Amino acid sequence: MLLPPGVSQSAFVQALQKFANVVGPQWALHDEEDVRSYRDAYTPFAAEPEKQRMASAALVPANVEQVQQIVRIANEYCIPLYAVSTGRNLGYGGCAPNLSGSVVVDLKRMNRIIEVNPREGYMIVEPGVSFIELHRYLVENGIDYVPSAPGPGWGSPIGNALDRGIGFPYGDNFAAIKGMEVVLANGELLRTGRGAMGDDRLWPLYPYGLGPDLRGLFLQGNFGIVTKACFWITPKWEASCGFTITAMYDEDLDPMVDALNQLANQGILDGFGIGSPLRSSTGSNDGRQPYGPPEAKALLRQRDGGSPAQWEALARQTSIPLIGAGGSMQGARTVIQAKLEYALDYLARAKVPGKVEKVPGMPGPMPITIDFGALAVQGSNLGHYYFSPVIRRSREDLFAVNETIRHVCLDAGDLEMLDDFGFSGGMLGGLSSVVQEKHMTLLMEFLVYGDAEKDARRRDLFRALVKACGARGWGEYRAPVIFQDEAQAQFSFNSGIYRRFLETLHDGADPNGILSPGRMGIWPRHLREG
Amino acid sequence: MGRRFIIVLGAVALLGAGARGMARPEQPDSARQGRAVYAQWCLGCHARWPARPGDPPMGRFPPAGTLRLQQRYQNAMPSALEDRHDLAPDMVRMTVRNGITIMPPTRKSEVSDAQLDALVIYLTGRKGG
Repeated sequence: MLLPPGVSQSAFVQALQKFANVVGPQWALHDEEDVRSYRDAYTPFAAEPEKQRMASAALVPANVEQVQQIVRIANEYCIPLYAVSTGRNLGYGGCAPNLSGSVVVDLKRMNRIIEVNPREGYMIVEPGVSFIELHRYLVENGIDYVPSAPGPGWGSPIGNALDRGIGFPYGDNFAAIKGMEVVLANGELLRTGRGAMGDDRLWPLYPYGLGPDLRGLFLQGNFGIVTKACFWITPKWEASCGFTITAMYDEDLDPMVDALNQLANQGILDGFGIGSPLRSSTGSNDGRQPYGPPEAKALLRQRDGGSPAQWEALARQTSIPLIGAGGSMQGARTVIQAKLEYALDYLARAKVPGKVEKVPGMPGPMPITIDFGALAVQGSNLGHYYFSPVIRRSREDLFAVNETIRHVCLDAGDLEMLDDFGFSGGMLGGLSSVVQEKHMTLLMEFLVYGDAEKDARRRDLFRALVKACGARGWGEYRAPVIFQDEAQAQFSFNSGIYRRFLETLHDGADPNGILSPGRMGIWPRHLREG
Repeated sequence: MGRRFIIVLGAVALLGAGARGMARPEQPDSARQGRAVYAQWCLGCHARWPARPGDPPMGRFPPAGTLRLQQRYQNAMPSALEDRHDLAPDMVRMTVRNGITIMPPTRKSEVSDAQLDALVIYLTGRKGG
């Protein structure tokens, strides 16, 4: 029997009985077969099961009161808990805890959609609600609002937002959370913002209390178990459209970015991307289909990544654009048409070099599904995990981060990864419905092979990238559980004051360190000092 | 013979002669419940590909499970689970609970044992074996 660290078997058995009295015996899971469900299905340690993070038990509460009682019992016995919402954070650690032996608190049964208010544009949900369940509810009730889901629809709006997830097509999902209800480490119930007045009429509508805004503490944090969240939701839009602008010289990307920045600053663009189509044409990372010439792959294998002259010649030869940017807008048809015309006119007046093409409009948003198709085309693998640093939206940073990644791969002798990644991989950011964004997030996918040696090499490569990119100011926006300590270490200003201050707050709020110890590298005192 | 039914995200509607051809007459409720479980939890990765008229709209990519099974079976047998007539109940249960390659496990908090029984009946026409 796997025990929580520092807890004796007899104490754990006693605690399990108390937990079972709270949630019911069928929802206090400690049989090995049941607890095995609470592992990272995409673990980078697929071939080394002894190194995987594992839960000691799982509890599935039905309501907030049960969560509070669970937390009080956990405090009594100093048992670490690890809360998950729908537990489908595949790619970043799944539903396995940071600290092996933790008891997972599985919030899937708490899946009430408490309120959807289309008149004022908000919803209040519990953590176990999935995007698919939400979408179903909206369709059945004729409410024309759209959930902001990442690829798979089985995740949770709350869980995704609290991991700072990115949804399509709205972007920053956490920015949409305006109020939260949280069970604190001592079992007390907290509501943020206007909810702290004890009257919930303004709770979903105005996010601030009087004084500090506490929402951020629960974002990628271990300061509480969120049991409800109020989201602002966006009406389904009539249509979307956009444009691309492409050119055959790298330096043309600079005026493109300048122009699109100006358009974004004026509120004309809802989406904004930049890249190098020719350089990205040979990679297959994240399910892309390579279509580019072998010469491009060869140039990317050079330490200098190919000279501008070499790339310009290849672009002329293949007619694949060397650089490109794009903007998109969504909303009422007449409005987005006007925005598009304004944008195209702006580009012409500013004499931005490049070929401009309109992207045909699409009616409304995509339906929500479980969208895992990209995985199936990637060949034999057992899962994936992501390296996802934040970079500036500029030619300089785009090229520099790719150079760093290229050098790290070359120095590790991993040409397969370099070829697979190619250039730029995926690129998120510039999706802005709730907040305007001024950055990009690179997504570099690592596959799990179930080959101990290869998977270990890839994990080492991941760590090398974290360090090399971190040293240049490109920190991750989100990190897989097993790399969270290394990722947090990159935030080193003033001897890691960011982490140290969070530890100070955490020691006060959770002195026994029972809430998700280790999440994003924030550990309780007794685990920091060995 | 294939079943034709229209799935609207959020509701399951039945056209034609009844539940999946193999469902036993004395278990119509189980098969219907199983189909609802399938629609919510399985269809996203196991829908037919290419889709046939009447199949639900899919996302940006073909369904991962069906595509993976197409690669494995190479047309030797159907790649969409609902088109199979030889699935073994115990195998379905084990795969749902344990996952396989990129298919993650499905927990009891997501699909209960009772719902899993219904799903098994929907896919195989029987409860055990």
